[in-house]
Amino acid sequence: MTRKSINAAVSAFALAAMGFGPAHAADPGATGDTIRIAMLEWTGAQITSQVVGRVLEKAGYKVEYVTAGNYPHFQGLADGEIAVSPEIWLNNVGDIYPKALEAGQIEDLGTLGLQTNEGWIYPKFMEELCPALPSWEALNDPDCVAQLATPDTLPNGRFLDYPSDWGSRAATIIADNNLPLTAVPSGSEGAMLAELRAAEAAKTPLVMMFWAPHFILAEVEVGWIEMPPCVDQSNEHCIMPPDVNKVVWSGFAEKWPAAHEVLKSFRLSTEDQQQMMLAIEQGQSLEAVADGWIAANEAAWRPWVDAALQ
Amino acid sequence: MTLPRLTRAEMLWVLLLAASVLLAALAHVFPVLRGFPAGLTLPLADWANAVLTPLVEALRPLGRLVSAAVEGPLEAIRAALAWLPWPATVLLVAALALQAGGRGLAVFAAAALGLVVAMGYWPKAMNTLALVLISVPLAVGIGFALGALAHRFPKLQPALVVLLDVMQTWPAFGYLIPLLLLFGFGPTAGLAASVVFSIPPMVRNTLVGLRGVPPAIVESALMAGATPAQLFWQARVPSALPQLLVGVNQTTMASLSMVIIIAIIGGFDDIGWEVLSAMRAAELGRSLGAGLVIVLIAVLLDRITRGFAARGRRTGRRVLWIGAAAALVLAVALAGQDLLPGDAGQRSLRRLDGWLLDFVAWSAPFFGLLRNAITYGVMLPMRLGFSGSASPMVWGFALTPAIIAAYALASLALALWLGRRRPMRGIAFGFAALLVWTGLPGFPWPGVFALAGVACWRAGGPGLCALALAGLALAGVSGLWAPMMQSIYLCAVAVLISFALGGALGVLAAESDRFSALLRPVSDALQTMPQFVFLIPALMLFKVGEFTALIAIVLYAVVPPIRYVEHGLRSVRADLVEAAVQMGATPRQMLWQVKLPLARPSVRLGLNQTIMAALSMLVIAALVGTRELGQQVYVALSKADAGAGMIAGGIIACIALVADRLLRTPGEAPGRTD
Amino acid sequence: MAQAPEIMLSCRNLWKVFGPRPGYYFDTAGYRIDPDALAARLRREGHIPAVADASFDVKKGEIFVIMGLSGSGKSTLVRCLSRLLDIEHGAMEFDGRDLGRVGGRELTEIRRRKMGMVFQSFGLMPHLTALENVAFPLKLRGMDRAAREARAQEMLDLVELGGRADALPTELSGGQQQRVGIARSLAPDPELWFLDEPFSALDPLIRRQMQDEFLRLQRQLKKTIVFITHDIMEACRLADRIALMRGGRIIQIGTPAEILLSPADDYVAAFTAEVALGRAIRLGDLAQPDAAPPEGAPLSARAPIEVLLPALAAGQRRFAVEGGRVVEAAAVLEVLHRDARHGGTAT
Repeated sequence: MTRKSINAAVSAFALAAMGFGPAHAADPGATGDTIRIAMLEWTGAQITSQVVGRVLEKAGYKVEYVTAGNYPHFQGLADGEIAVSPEIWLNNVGDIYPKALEAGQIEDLGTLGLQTNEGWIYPKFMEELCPALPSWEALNDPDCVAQLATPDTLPNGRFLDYPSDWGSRAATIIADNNLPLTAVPSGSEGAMLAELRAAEAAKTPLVMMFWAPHFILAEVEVGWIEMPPCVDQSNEHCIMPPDVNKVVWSGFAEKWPAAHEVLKSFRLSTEDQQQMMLAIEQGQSLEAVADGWIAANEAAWRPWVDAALQ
Repeated sequence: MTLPRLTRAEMLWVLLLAASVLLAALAHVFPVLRGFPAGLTLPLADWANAVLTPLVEALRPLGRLVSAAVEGPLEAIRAALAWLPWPATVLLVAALALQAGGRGLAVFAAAALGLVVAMGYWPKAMNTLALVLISVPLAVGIGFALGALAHRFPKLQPALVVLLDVMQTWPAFGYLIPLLLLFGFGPTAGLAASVVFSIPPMVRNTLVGLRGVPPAIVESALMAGATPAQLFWQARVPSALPQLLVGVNQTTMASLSMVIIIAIIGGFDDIGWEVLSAMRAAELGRSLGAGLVIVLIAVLLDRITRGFAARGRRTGRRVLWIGAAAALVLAVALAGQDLLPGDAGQRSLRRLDGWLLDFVAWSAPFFGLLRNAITYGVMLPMRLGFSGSASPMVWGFALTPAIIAAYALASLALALWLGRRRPMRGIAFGFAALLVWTGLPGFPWPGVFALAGVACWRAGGPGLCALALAGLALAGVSGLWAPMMQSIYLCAVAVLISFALGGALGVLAAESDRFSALLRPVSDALQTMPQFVFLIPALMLFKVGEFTALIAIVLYAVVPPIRYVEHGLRSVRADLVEAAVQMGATPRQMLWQVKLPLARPSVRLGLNQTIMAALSMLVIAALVGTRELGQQVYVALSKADAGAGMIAGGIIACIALVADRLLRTPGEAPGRTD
Repeated sequence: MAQAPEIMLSCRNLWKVFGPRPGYYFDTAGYRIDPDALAARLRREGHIPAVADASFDVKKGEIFVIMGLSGSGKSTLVRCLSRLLDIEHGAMEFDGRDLGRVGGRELTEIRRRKMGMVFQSFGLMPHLTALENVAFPLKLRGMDRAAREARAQEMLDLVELGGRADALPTELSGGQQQRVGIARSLAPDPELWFLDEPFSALDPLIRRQMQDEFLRLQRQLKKTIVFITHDIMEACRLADRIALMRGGRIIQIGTPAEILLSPADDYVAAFTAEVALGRAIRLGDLAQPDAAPPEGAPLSARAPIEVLLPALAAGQRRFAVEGGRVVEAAAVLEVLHRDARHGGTAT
């Protein structure tokens, strides 16, 4: 990019921003270069990406959405092929994320602001089968456990765990509390959703590990089990609401300083995300939903943009 | 009861059986004999990483250069396909189809692409096409060069054959991390995996084609005064062209199937991504729609390339030029207009999910029963063995010494009775009884080494034996013994079911033309539909676990036995059938005593292909929660542990290679033949 | 006969050996090889002496037929002459050059301009039309399209296939394909023409037609020809001279009459026993110069002696043959007598 075009871009931007004096403004940086935003596999992350992209556009940047797999995309972030990944669930980053963070290839910009939850869920109808629910004590009740048993797990009840590659905390907690359950790894998110849907449709009992916000929770009514007290507070023995952070390529701040500021202040609430997920479930397009949020929430995003540029 | 004299080979097997029984008995006392001893494991993955990391680091600039070189043309093709309004593209493809296969194919092409548009997958389908259009020429070019090289230097061929087998059986996810490090995040890493996977058929067909050029053609070209280059390009290659085009066709199919799997990387917003996203959201309608798009593209590419392979050059190109010109005119006329339909197609696809859930609700008791029956009857005995699964809870009785003794005595008596004339039958039964007792994964590990070693030595000589033992040792030492045995167990059950089911269907198809015609599109779809699509309904009906994995594997692996058994039975020589009829064979005798024995080479090849298909599904089956090597590949992927992924993938490739060599028809087996 | 005809191709002590290390046995510069002993040793040590110590000359303009059963080494020998195979030992002189030693570009040039070859299985390029096949050698040497296609059309006309120029090989019958093969081998106007069992793959009737066609062409073109066949009748019909091969050795060289009438050994005798001498021996073979030929028009020297049967039956004793020669009835009867003894009536 030549100096001339930078100047042109800067002045064009200045016009758009009504030409206020840039007393404490961060430098917009390379506004001519496209900021590539990761679109991960799940709906929530895709909504966040689209909203972030639109806010950055309002700040005068060009953006592009790149579909990316959760694990592979860390390599893209580390290399700068992908500039931003705005919704990273820190409970599901494998070993790649800490490695890249340690190597200084990526930068964590802090919380996205989602009110998350993680724990054990069951479809609501199960409260009739196991009246002790939502207390975890229900899982010690032989009648309830018998309903959950399958040939693979006999005599224990079956507990649907996260896929093996997401870790196996549930098995640890089952062991900690001597629950008559066997944790069965689910293989993939799709597998968990398929089971939850099928359980709801066929009214078959199911207890599984899950997290929120998630679009399925708008579709299937679930209850959250009140967990037994943790043996200790470590991640392995105790489920805490996971952090969901915004992560950028380490060269981001230097290349697009103002965008870096915008991203730092960016927040998206669980309620907003869930509403948008529901709208998409009902057939609206992703783009339309994100446009709708931008139109309705100028009060929220305008200050982030202004603060970064002034 | 007098026993026949045993040959030396049979003595050896009897000894092995006795040793295995002893080991199994001892394993109850010394658990160290069950799983591979943990004390013997080595940090192999770390070592592999110690080698891989600097290597990849050193090659990185080269890799990035390749990425840049590939992504330019890829982006150009993608942009061109995105710019072309869909009616123009459809017209162009239809003209191509007309040229390749006549009017019927042209109509099919137009209808298929029309359906893609209607379902709302057009832009994604074009992105996939762009990937294929880059990956196929690359694979064809490299494969052709390798094949020509191997033809020129025949000494390279044995090594090349092994390399090709490894390329086809090593799961791509196993080397995804090094590829990502090498080429960076983006389509190139996926394309590289796709090219690796689709080169082998091109190499094989190039070799077959060049070898098949009649000597008279080579000699006549030499006598016409051809220089070496002229001989190659003007005589050998044109003569081998039909076979080369078969290679192009197979490479295209392989490339397409891999492009889907590799979409896990993302970055290209193609159909594969759509399939994976739909799988992730467990939406059957969307994934079925996207899968259908792939089937349609696959069938189209297949028929068009095959049409060109069969037609040669003797048809006018006029149709094509007219079609291209018309398409260009249309393109210019329609440029920039948004002609794609709305999301009506997507919405109607989503309706499928509702129906599926209704069906699940309605049929849950039945499928639950089926699942339990097969789990109790087949899977638990094979996984845990009689000794592991017999408990009051499961089968209603506990394992007492009396029962153990009864089992042992009954097995021994049956084995002796079966072996009274053909000792190998008795020995085989003995092993089967032992396996049912211990379960496959619980079979004592020294016994596995001994059995695999002897079987491979006898079937394929010292080389195969060394390969098998090395694979087992690799699994044991890297701490993957249990997942490996789990993989073998899962594949064995799946192959058993697929082969029985597919073989029966193949027999029926060979008998009835109508049934065969009915079955063919089903097997086509089963083979080209991305396997992820089947996972969703299977999951809903059968829940997460091995059983669903089994169903998914069987759905894919059932196709080869159908095809090969039907083909084998249909190609039995007519005069032999006539002779049998004349001798008064009943239909049943005809099948069992005439046709099936004569079709044995084909049936055997079918079994071989069934095993390959089952092994290739392991990585996909891992998505429904299994404990085998495919799962290890994912775990390695999530840990960005290149070494662990390579090792898990390598063991799968090793199993596939050994199984393949063991089941080659005797004529093809290297070393001894019987 | 006028002056001795010029020798076109001269071969001395050719050896071609198949096996693990054939070169090892010929590292014998200086002393003479005993062919029988060497051949025996080669066989003992796992080698096949496909051509053993072959020596002969092919004269300009003659049809030199190499004949033998399958495995006798005849096809190997012709491949040595055309350098499709390299010889282990010996000397081949062609066109003033040591043919065994030329290589690379020079060999290619010799093949492009001075040699033509016809193959038993035709060797036509499946992807080229008849015309393009014939033009193929000309294309290889870089002749421009119009010139080579004109020449190819001329060649197709010569073999009476001018009307099928656009046909692909698969659309032609066997006989037609071999005509294309012949036309192709003649397209560069070679001096030396090799034919390796050109008619063996054809039906007997077609084979006969093709032989006539071949003789017609040769009368017109006067090439120097090395013709390979396993068919003694074909050899006798076509040859000026025949070389008979067995187990890699040439066991007799001579005109058809010499081979038939004075076989070198029992093998040759047994081999030729089936031939109907009445048809195979020509008047020229038995004719003697005579100062006073009988009355009447002289007969063609190429006519088989069986044409004399009616006249012999009528009691004629001397027959005039072209070139002022005479055939005596006694000589004819002696030959026919041998025929009767063998019961030889084969075609």
